Amino acid sequence: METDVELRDVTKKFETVTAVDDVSFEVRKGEFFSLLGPSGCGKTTTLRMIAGFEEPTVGEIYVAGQPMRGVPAFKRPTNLVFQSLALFPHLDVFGNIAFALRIKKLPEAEIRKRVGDTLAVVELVGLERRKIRQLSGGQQQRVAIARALVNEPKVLLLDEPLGPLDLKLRIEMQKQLKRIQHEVKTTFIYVTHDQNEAMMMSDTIAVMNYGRIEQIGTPEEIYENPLTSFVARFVGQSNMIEGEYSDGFVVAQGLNIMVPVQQQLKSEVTLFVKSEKIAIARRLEQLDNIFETEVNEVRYNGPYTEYRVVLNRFFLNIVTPNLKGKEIFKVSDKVLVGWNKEDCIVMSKD
Amino acid sequence: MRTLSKLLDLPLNQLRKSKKSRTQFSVGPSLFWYAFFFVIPTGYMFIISFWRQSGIRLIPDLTLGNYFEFFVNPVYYGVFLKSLLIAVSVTLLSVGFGYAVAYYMATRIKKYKIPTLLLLLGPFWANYLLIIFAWKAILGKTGILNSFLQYLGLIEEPVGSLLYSPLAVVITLVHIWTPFLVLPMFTSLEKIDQTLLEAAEDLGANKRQAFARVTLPLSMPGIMVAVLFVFIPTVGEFITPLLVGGPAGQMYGNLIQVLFHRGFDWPLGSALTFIMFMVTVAAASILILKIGLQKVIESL
Repeated sequence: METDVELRDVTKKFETVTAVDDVSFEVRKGEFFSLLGPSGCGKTTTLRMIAGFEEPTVGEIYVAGQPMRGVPAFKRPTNLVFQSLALFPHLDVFGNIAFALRIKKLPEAEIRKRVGDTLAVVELVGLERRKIRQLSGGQQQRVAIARALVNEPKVLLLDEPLGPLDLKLRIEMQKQLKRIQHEVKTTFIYVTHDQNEAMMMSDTIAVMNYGRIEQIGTPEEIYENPLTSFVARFVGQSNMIEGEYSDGFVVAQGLNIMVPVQQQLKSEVTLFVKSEKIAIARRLEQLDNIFETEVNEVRYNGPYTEYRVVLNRFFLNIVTPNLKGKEIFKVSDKVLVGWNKEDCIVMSKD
Repeated sequence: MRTLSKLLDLPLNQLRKSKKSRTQFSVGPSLFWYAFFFVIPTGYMFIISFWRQSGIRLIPDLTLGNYFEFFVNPVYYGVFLKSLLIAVSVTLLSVGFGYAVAYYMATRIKKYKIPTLLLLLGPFWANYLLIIFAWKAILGKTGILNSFLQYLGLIEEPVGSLLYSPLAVVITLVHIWTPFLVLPMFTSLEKIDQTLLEAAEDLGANKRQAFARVTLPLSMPGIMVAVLFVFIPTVGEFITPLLVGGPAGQMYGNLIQVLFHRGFDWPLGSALTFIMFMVTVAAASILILKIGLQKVIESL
């Protein structure tokens, strides 16, 4: 597979702060690649280095095989969709989208054709003469995407462009983005702090924390097999239990929890179990770990219910879908909770 | 104490009664000011511009002769055209210099913006006349500039045409106006979101193109305000040309002043004033319509 973007040992320091710390990754041509992490983790700085607004302190960035050191933003084959969108308020929709083509001094007929084609891709045909402030939030997003796409960049960079939208519109725009990417077949690098957003759209996710990449993988790999405790905590909703490991068991607060046998574990470990992997019922069989408890908290959420139960001295969060005919438990109900050892992720405490 | 609160409450209660009375109350003083010091005198001048003067007596009449005089007498329309030319030069130069300063301040100065702005306003604290006299001292025959050029050996005899010329009027007025114009243009430039320039750069624009396609159009309202600020008063300027203009540098304002003073022809003076008034109002209206009143107000 052809590589479109490559970062090799990239470090960025701002005076004394290291924003990006020895980051390396490759993005394949046509891939939807996400940088996922909490705010301040260096994901936006990484994106801005690819766009050319920051130079790496150490390391090299390649776009389409070319080293980018010293190449100013306006000469790079990348385009950025800004977090604030940064649409030009003095231009209408057409003027915004045509901006890059006018800079290139293309003939007016070609500009009109390409803007028209791009408007069709983002489904904004007919709004050419609208002023930016007359558009809804979702329309503005699409203008920003169109403005970047019309330039036919090798790589489209997106810096949390869906941040300010409400939930419904955001999900709609996620679908649209995925469809647009499918149509134009451009490489997308998407920065977000929203794990659901990253998982729904991406082919590959790189999870970042404190300027470093914690793990790179498909959404499923990241979710099911986190390699670091940060990824285990950040992605998904996990229960965290600290205890001691010996021979396929973790002993924690007087509980014996069966886990997969693992070599190279220190005796002090952290155990993660995702909330939705835990079963809750009056009767449970054939699970490796089954405990008796009572319901402490119930949060009914429509499609699913969140329970909180007490096991000895720690709480467990459980998310269970409200399947047809399934009992919704009440506070103080006596229940059994259980899960299989394969659903346990055990890591040495750092 | 009770009487005091009663006294204070009374007008407030009355004001709360209706929105109408409140607006009347707040607009009242300024309305009175405009009526008394602007509308009435201007109206009176408009009326007497159709009158005639005989000796020291004003004779009520309804003649267009005074207006006619402007168009047939080359002194009047000639000086008017020269005044427009001087005003256009002063406007272009001071807006240009002011824009450069405003741009530098908005983009390059990161710390101490407010103190820098205050420093810039320093010349305001010197009297207008002092600035004019300073230029007399610089441009005069035995002035600083001539002495300096002689000292350098670039000229043998002092150049007499520096002071008392249209050039001296332009230089002095540009100096007086420039700091004034920095403010509205600085406000306009300061409001421009810097990510817009990054966006332009990302879309392939170099610094010059980003300036021409983003910064300049977005700061246009400030530029227009600056143009109005300097152009309107400069067309009617008379103190500066009186002091540094010399015979060749006399402006339209000087003509009007002479007609009201020594010339003693108020009807003609009024007619000339009205012609200038119309031209400047027309120029301002065109500019404001072009840029949009809302935007002009926003940049103030």
